[in-house]
Amino acid sequence: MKIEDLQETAQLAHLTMDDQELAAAFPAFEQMLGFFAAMQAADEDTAGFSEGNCADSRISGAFLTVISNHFRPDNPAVDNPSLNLNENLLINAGERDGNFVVVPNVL
Amino acid sequence: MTLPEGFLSYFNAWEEKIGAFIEFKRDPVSPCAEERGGIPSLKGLPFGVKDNIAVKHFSLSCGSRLLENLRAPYTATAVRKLEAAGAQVVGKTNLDEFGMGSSTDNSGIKRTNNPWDTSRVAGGSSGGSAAAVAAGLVPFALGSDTGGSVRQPASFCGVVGLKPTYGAVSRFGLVAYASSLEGIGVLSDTTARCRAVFAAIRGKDPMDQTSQDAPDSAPPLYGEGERSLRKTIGVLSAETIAKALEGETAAQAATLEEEVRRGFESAKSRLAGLGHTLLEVELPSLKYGVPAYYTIATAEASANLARFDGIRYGKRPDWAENPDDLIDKARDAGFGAEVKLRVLLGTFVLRSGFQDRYYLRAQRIRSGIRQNFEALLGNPENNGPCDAILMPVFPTRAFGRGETSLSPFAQKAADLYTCCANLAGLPALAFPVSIEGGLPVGVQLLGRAFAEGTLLDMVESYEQAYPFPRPLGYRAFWS
Repeated sequence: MKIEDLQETAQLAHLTMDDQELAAAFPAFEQMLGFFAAMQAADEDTAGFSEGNCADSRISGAFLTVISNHFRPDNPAVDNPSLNLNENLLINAGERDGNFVVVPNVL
Repeated sequence: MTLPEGFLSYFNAWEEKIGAFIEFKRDPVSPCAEERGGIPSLKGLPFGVKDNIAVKHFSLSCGSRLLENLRAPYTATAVRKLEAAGAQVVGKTNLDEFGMGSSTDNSGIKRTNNPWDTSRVAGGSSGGSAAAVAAGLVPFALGSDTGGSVRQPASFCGVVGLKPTYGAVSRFGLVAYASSLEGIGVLSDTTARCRAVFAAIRGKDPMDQTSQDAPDSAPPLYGEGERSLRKTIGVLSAETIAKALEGETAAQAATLEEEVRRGFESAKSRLAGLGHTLLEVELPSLKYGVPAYYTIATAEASANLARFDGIRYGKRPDWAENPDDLIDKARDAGFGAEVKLRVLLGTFVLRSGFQDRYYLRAQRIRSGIRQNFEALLGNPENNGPCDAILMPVFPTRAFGRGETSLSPFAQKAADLYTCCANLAGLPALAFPVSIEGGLPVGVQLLGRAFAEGTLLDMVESYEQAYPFPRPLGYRAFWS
């Protein structure tokens, strides 16, 4: 990674950082690049994402399946060609008010 | 509400030593209480709120010089619910700037010390809340947990720390750092209090679309007779963790300190002694937790903190040539070094062409980690072989400053034990298990989604058998 890459990134983030500050950020970027390399290895690590294992033989042989996602259900409605673009957008809204998507205030 | 006799001098003496509060209201007025049936009363209890959670007319500095003089224009849903139950906010507690850190030393406002040893950190980022509870200045406090920010300071200070299931508590009024990971959590002096506070603040909120009520199939928070049941606890031992991290550069930083290992072993034997069944388990994806966590957290931080531009919030420079210059100057003067670094890293992650390589890959890993946990724990509809997973909270006890400090790199690597619960969106409860070398050691139990009741049952029975320790000079003002 070059200092120019960091300068450009800092500019995008509206951060005024001089060369000294950017140089100080280099080790953190190296750590981050190490994280990226580790994540790349995960693509080929089938054992890493097998189902969790128990040492207990009664359980290690059990067939464990992920049944459902506990996060809020997010099942997008299928596009309906008979509707116009606005309607297709609105049918996916969590909450709507007439022709508007309701977006709550979140600080 | 009036503060107990002798409390203010007690408060002043402790606060001078530990610096837990950014703001403290010394003359609280009587709140308008609305008691809720079936839940132990919080009426009349004072509580602290981390200074990144909005309480109308109170400070909302987020520990940043940029927002030092900002007063919240409204109150967070979690706080409003506690006030409705009769509790009253008495102050705002210190934190690492915007919740970024593991020591609270990244606060731009002040320094917070550990009540057990004031030369050491209180942990972070909810260090002010943890220190305030540990010293008995408040019976409970709210914090926020993005990658362990409630559980790690709870462990460092010897108090109970609950990170609820993602969505179980409304985030309305919590200043966003990493929206898909964080949530409001509870730090308290006892498990029973933690349960009462969680009971009051949980539930769906129309102001936060990610919030939801616990499903009907989830274990009850106040399970009649449930507490006597023996549970199956999966144990992620130090050896298993070392195996999972084999060949990883982060392994050294995640290796348990001898005192922490001793505390962890003690917790295992005590839980077994209480009748629980302990099973050794493996989480093969554990080694990817920190890389995925930091990729997602920094990316979301760079997007969330873009709003702090000196125009809508916070301090504005005296002079600027144009709007861009105004934003640059405001952020340069207001953000601390760690925040700048994480925003910089996050912007890098999200740069054009990099999103697929980094951010989306991290999200895929996150799904894999969640599946690992679900295979062991199950979900609200289908229970897995384990009711909970026992894990360390942090590889060290509260660390010192200067030469005895932990480097920022080691601090990030050490998030390994806590960040997986955030990636998986699962509840986790940290509690003190021993005092080693004069400092508390905590462990955590992770549960299936919306199974906070199970975790609280287990820890409450543990606390009855092994009461939690208190620091020297602690006085109990709250029953």
